[in-house]
Amino acid sequence: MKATPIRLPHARIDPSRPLAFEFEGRRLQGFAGDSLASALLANGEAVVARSFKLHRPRGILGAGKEEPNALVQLEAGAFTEPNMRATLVPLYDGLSARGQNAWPGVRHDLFGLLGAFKRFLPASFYYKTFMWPSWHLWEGAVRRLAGLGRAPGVPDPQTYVQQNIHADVVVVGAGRSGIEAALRAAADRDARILLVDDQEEIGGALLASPHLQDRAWLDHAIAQLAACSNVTVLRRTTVNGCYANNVLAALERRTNHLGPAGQGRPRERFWRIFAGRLILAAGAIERPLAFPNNDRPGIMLASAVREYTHRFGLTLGSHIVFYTNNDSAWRTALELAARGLGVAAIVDLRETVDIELLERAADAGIACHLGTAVVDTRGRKGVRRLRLRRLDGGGATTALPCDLLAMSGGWTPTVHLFSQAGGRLSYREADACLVPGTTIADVEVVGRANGEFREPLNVKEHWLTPDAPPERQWIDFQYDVTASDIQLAARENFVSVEHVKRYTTNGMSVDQGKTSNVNGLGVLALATGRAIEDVGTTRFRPPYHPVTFGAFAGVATGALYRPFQLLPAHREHVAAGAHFEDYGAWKRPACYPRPGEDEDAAIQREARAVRRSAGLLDYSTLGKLEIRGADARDFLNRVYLNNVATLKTGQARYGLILNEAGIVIDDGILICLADDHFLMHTTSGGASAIHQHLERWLQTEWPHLEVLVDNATGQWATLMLSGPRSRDILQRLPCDIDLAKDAFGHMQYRHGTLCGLPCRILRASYTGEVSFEISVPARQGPFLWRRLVEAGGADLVPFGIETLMLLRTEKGYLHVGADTDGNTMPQDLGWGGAVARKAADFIGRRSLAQEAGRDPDRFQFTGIELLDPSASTIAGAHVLSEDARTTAGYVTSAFHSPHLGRTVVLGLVAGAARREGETVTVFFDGKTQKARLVKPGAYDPAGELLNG
Amino acid sequence: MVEQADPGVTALSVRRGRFFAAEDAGLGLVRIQCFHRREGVADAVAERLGRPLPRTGEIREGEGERIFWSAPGEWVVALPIDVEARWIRDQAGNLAGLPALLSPMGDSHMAVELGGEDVRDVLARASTVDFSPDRFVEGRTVVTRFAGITVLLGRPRGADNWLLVVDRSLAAYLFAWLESASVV
Repeated sequence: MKATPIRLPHARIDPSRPLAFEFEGRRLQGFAGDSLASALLANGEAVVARSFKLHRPRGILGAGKEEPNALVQLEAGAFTEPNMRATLVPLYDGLSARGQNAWPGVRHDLFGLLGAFKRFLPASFYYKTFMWPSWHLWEGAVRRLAGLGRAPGVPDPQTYVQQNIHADVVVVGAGRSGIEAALRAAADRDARILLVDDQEEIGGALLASPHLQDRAWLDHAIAQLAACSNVTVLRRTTVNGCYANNVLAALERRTNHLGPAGQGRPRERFWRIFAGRLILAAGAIERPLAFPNNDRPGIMLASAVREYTHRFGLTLGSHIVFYTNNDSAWRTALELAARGLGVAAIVDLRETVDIELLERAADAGIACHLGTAVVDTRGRKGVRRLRLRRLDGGGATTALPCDLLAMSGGWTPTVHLFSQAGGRLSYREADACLVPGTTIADVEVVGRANGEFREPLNVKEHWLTPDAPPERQWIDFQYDVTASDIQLAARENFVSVEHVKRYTTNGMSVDQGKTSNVNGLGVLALATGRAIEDVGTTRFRPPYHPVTFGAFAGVATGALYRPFQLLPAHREHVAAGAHFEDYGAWKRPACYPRPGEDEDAAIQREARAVRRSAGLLDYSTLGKLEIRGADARDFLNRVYLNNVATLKTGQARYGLILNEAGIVIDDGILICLADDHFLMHTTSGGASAIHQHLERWLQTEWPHLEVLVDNATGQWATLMLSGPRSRDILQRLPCDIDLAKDAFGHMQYRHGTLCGLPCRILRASYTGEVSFEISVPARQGPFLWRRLVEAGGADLVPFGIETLMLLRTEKGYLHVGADTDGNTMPQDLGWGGAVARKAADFIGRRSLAQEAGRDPDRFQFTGIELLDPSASTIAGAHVLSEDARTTAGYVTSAFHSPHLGRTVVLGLVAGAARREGETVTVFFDGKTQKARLVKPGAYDPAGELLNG
Repeated sequence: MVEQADPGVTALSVRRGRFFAAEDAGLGLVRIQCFHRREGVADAVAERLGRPLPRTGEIREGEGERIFWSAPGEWVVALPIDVEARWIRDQAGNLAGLPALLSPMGDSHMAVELGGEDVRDVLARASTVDFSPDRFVEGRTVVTRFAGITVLLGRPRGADNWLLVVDRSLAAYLFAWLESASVV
């Protein structure tokens, strides 16, 4: 293979725009319009990569997405990207790339010595070898060696977007067939046509045609497309997958051709395409031939040679030999010869070839070797000589000098999207390829993707060179899979093509077997004595082409990883120094550390302040559902486990909500605002789920009940003022509600105005102290927060949700979701009596009567008192069974109590209700400690303080 | 750029290239709900309100207000904020006796105006709805998943811009998302 200092005329590059680039530290030059691969070839870079397993030198094999060899590490630092195929990287000024899987470089790779041990490294050697004495002994070394390329070690500064698009007709592939299909479809002016192509410019194989009439046709067609207002063309876009209802996933490379200079604009765009009708015109990929040492640099696909010659203007050899089993390579050879390139010979496995091709070859001075196989190649840094053998001539071989071998083993239609759309393939023996064998509604396959080759191929099936060592005949160039590996798999009784793929790694990794799958099938068919059709194919799973993580993520990274919700008074919390934590989607203050305090210290301080004086918590996430209608009371009595039918206006009642399996799914306080109007408080994370729960029952089970549900959670900002001085502080603000102890008791509700704002106040306590849950219109939440902080002065501290959790754990209050699990029934929480007392039916009642619900060893809610007061534990610690062999429960909440001077613990423990006072063993962090089962509620067990 | 005093807190507008999004603080929002499963109730509500209620997926404009269909038996009224309270008070009286209710939603939700030449491109990055001019015509509205959250989105007749209604607690997220996703 030689360098091309001067490009051939008519190439689609711009010689007036030279571009400097680097490969492996060497400064090189290409031109605008080049791919990295064509630029490397133009500079005579024969070895551009190393194979994965054996580190064999690899040159460029293909010219497009089929390339298995030329994987490079593009750029460095934050912009680096591994496993980029040089054939798909458009050249830009300043591009920098390195080879992969080699040290110190791809030309001279020390690991290349592995090739000498090939016979000891057959397929699956690692499955068999690294089992003894233990996989873990080998794991570290294997993981260091495994993988191709290096992932960036710093965050990617580039942006990625995702976009949806709808079209009546989507054409995939903009070669001649695709363009024709798009123009046909565009005749319907009401139809929206989307033409998607993965190349830098549309045209497909026409871009590599030396024929002026082809180029003229393409120019005309492009002009026609441009004139169609109903056609959208997406270039540089690879359709990677086809899903149900003709939904396609595609990746558009927006600024890759600009390199890091494109920063600021989206690098890639991930398209989700909704297609009415799908036309697949993705073309076909030429296959390599299997023969000994067919992986040597300087051996390329004939179609790639055509492309590099006519599209990029390269002269890759002066003694070019074509090796083929079909007619297409002859035409390519003749095209090259017509350009004056040195086509020395055509070696054809077939005994006979179309007479016209033979005559034209003879006229061009090309030697023809029919019925002949290449049985070896030689050359250290690139192919220099071939050894040929007549297929019917015994063992005698002849030598043939060669500096570029262009091979063609037939063509493989690109059918992955058809297959993913549900189509089945059939094997067409005449062309030795798999073609669409069924029809699918709204999916059409055209052109070479459908096996419609414009000129006859006359392929002779050839999967393996006979009487030649199979261990030197490469099938998968990327993973060093040879024919002998597939034969070994067959001998070891792997008959399913899926199993053979995994056993040998044939068709894995970046190229996903675009050049190796069909040849692998052929070798497997030969080895197992089956027809290709009976061997079948591996599944065509998306993505067809590697997709970056950035494209999958789009803008959903960092702070936008998932939606977040902010409290109405978020800014006030930021100003107060809150440390935020995620509770569902909500950003809630966990606590408000002061300078020098860590979170633990802040929580302890806040808890002491609430018990001693007063604290203010932003409780706006509290679920607030308003239920109205003539049947609201009846409906709610069916929803709640306990009886709410008797609730009077202005009263509030705590209740449990079950699902139909009798499992506790939420709890909270129900307030009667009017006879037909109720306010249901749910847990913070439960508002939407309970809203849906209510709507499901209303819409599907009881559609006759006249009930309307309004989720008013966000309409109100709710602040919890809690502590012995809370009433005093609240009374410092103008309010038309009588806040006196006797006038406004625990579990009562009032509405009126506070600081001139409409307000709702509930006397309920989740801290064990006297508390006021004050709701005002959400937009006024920040104002009320500031007013209360002002009014409280030194008597008041803001406290966070973590502090609240400590306070309620001291008090033994249940937190549904933390102190319950997916099995918790009301009797596990001590609510068995309420179930028995309620006469009316309610959701989940029937399930409570089942045998499982009566098991005395169910996990039940309990307090757990550590016998060593200085000991601590955490939520999740196990409570062991009596024989200490199994888990008999676990800790659900555990906090250090500043008031009790020890860790307060709640948990779910087997049979806890009947085992009160028993000693149990708690296991955590490899240690055990003794504890006693006690009633929940270590702080103020009499419950007097909340009435204060 | 997002105009905000505190990152992620009060993002009230995004302007990038040929796209903008901004809170329409002058709009009040009211939800109408009725027990639509009973025949004739929706018609009765419309009659009492003195205006026809739009059908599924439609917007009805008139008298300084726009009514968006939002769900079976539910509509969202967008109207000048200074008349919101009076409108609710007056209309609630008109609906007395009917299984229907009006709820203010201006505190829980925010109206956002979206516009610019690239607006459809940005919308298409957020939602799978077909936003082509000939498919998403003027007067159409949807409740859809948009940038991962649920919003009401409409294209009022005679208006240059689109109107989006989002949960106020998610507004900071939405504006940050639009800021990131509107890059061209």
